[in-house]
Amino acid sequence: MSGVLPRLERDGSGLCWVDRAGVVHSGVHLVRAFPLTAPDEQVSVVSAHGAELHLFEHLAGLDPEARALVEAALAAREFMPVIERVLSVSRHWVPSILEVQTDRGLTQLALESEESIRRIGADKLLIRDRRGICFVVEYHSRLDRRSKKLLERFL
Amino acid sequence: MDKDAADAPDRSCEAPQWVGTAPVRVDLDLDEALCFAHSRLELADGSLIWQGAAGEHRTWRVGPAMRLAHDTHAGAGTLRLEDAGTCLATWHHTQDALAAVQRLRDTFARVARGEPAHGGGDEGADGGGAALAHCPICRTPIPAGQDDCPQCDGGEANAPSTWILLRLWRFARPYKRSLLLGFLLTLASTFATLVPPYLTMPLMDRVLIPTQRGEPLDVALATGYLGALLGAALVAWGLGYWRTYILALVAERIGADMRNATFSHLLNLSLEYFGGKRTGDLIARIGVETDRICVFLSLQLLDFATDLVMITMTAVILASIDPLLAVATLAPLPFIIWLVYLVRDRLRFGFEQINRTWGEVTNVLADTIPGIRVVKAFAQEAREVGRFAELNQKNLRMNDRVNRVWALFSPTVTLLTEVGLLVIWGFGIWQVAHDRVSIGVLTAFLAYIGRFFTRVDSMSRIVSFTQQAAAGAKRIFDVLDCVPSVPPPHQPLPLAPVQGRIALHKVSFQYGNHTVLRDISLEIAPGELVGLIGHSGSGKSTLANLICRFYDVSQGSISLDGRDVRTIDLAQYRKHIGVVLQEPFLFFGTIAENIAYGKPDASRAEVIEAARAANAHEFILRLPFGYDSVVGERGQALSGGERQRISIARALLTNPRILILDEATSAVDSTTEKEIQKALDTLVQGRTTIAIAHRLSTLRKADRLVVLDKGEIVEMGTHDDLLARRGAYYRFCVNQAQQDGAAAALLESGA
Ligand SMILES: Nc1ncnc2c1ncn2[C@@H]1O[C@H](COP(=O)(O)OP(=O)(O)O)[C@@H](O)[C@H]1O
Ligand SMILES: [Mg+2]
Repeated sequence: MSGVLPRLERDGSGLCWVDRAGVVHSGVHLVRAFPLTAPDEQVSVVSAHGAELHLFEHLAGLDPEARALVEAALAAREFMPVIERVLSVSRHWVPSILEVQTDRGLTQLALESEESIRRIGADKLLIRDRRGICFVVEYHSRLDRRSKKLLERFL
Repeated sequence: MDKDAADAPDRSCEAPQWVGTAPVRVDLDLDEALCFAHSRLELADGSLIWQGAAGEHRTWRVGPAMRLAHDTHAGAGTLRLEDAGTCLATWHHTQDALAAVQRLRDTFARVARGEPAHGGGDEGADGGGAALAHCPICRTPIPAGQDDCPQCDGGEANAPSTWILLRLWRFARPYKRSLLLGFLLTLASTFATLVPPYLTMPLMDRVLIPTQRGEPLDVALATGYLGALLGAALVAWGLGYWRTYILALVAERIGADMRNATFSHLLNLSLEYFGGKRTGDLIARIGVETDRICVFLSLQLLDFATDLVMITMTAVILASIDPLLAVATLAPLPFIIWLVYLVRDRLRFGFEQINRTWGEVTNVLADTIPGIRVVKAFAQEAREVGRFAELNQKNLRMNDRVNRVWALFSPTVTLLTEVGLLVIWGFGIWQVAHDRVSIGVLTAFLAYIGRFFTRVDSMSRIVSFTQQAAAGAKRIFDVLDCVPSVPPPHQPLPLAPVQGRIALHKVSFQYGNHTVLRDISLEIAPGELVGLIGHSGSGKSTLANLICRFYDVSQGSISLDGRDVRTIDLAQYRKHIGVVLQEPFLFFGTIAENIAYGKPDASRAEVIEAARAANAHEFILRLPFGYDSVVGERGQALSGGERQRISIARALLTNPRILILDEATSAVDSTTEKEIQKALDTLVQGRTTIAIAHRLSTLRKADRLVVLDKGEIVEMGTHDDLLARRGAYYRFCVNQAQQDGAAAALLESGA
């Protein structure tokens, strides 16, 4: 076993990856290969040039410290507000503007067409608004009745 | 034309080594001027003998410099006898004689070379081709073990007829219990609706008329009758509800079964079928027509049955009350039946036309939407809109024609029934005046007749619906009756672990009457990489299609590890074959789903591994949702090279023993090509590979190159061998060297 243990580290500009030979690649970022269907599996470490340096098979397999680092790095890059409540809709057919309460605050979601809503698995919804932001409904069936009823018309 | 003396066989001269076996004989069916005429060509005892229809004959002694050249064009084949380049004779023949002519040509070549006339072990393969029967109508070869022609499915036997609806029984059979129950309920509920008019009779004669005469009102009797009326109505309502519900349920299921059956049958048909069919038409058949039949079964047929029961019951009741009045009532019926008979054929013809037009309308949609980029690029929106509008116009015309007939028919029936009612009134009044019937009986009659005629009226409408459904059913059974032209083996033997040795033995192939491949023999060892080269249209893709068994060979055979592929279960066989096509098709779904298409239970790690091997992993990671990104119907969000790499990953994931690359890199730029090439280099390792490319540099790793020209193998060997031979391959290289510098390097390295 030559070299060092490959690992992810923080450096001045962000993240860096130390590979088996001890070479430090700075400016790397993390990418989930399956952000929707399996966010915690197959997370790739990608160099500044887009080449893959390493693939974490399961985040659960990491030690807590490394995992916290990975998750923090991922969170810093991801922007997928989770819809918690639908407050109102401007009208019941597309295009429509939905007033939604998300985990990142209150906002308006401009829904352009029915195709902008994508079902993932049985219960998850992905809604893309006009600005290109992807909103997530984690558990459609667990929304409150009013939100469900408002969303239903677009499904 | 008796040249016997001149050309008489000279038995004393050095005869070719002839083994006395049965003569090879061909019945020609065209003459020199390509008119239909019979003559016979025979190769026996080292001579070629031609016998005309009138008994004339010519004989040629086969010499070493002689050659029989064969060529097909526009459905007619030409056979030329040449001696050292000079043409001695020419014959023509049609497709029917093709197999025999090819046999003759082969035997002739052997005889000319001085070999035995019958090479060892060849008969089996040739015999297989010759034994094929031909359809008497369209002359397509009929695959062994089948009675009907796959092309024209028996011609006029399929002429549209209302009887075709009876074939729907096949789909109804699983539901016969529910259907029986539904029918019994129909009987019962119809009977219940017939009770109220019957009660009007005593209500009139025993309650109303006595009261009018001043007798005291019999309240108990009156309430009794009214109660019975209400009860009958309620029972009729309940039974009607139950019946309608059950039958509608069954009809929906029959419709769904029909759709499933049609779709699954369709997908099992060979590529040949899809080659000749338009997408929109097939979509219309499976979508619209099954739905129409479903509506027919659930609503219209049901109504018809009810009407029929009702009319029969009413007729019986009327006859039992007063036969004379009953006869008067039924008077308009024959006229209506005659009318129905009159319009039926016109309607069905019209509906068939409408259905076909509807298919065409869908065709335009199915054409234009996927081709939207081309439409826009050439600014042809207006033309497509025009095409669509024109078809719609045609649809309107057809509908107008049907409606003209129909519009006349319906009111005519209504008029007839009104007249019938009038007759009853007149006749009834006259009868009452002469005290032959009571007012109660007349009222009951009128009540029945009202119902009776509404029923007759609605029943006559079934004509239209029946014809509509019959036209739809015909188009569905057209699909269902089509037998796959790549028939599954009768008793497929299990496939042992596949090594990947492919052998083509004297393979010939025709699309219809266009011969594309001729006499191809090729052995590919397990793990070998064979490059196929040839001009566009030389039959490379066709050869690949035959190996995939998208089509079956016309003559000869293809075997995998020594087993004829026709004896192997198709699905099993294709599991061992990976194909990468020039136009990579991606389904609507995520990238991960597309990669795992051939192996849906693949783990995520496997998917990533395949993508990585196909050099696609990193670009996939750059997409906003990685492997969860959705690619559209035609994968429009991705570039050609990216789609190609996904299709390579797809082929890689199933880990096939045999790989077919049909111009996998020809549609992309050279940088992308290099990336794809890198992916392909991983892919081909350890697999039997057939790679087709027109850029020779992509075949630099090939163990062997095969040059095809006009459907025949003209050269075969390694790159260096072929260059040294200075033949067709050399010319290809020179050609490309002039086009780009890369091949020049290749040339130098080989020289
Ligand atoms: N489905 C088809 N029906 C009829 N003819 C076809 C069909 N596919 C190909 N052909 C004909 O067969 C010949 C060989 O085609 P193909 O094998 O695709 O050539 P290549 O791949 O070498 O360019 C061409 O002349 C082409 O017109
Ligand atoms: Mg081709």
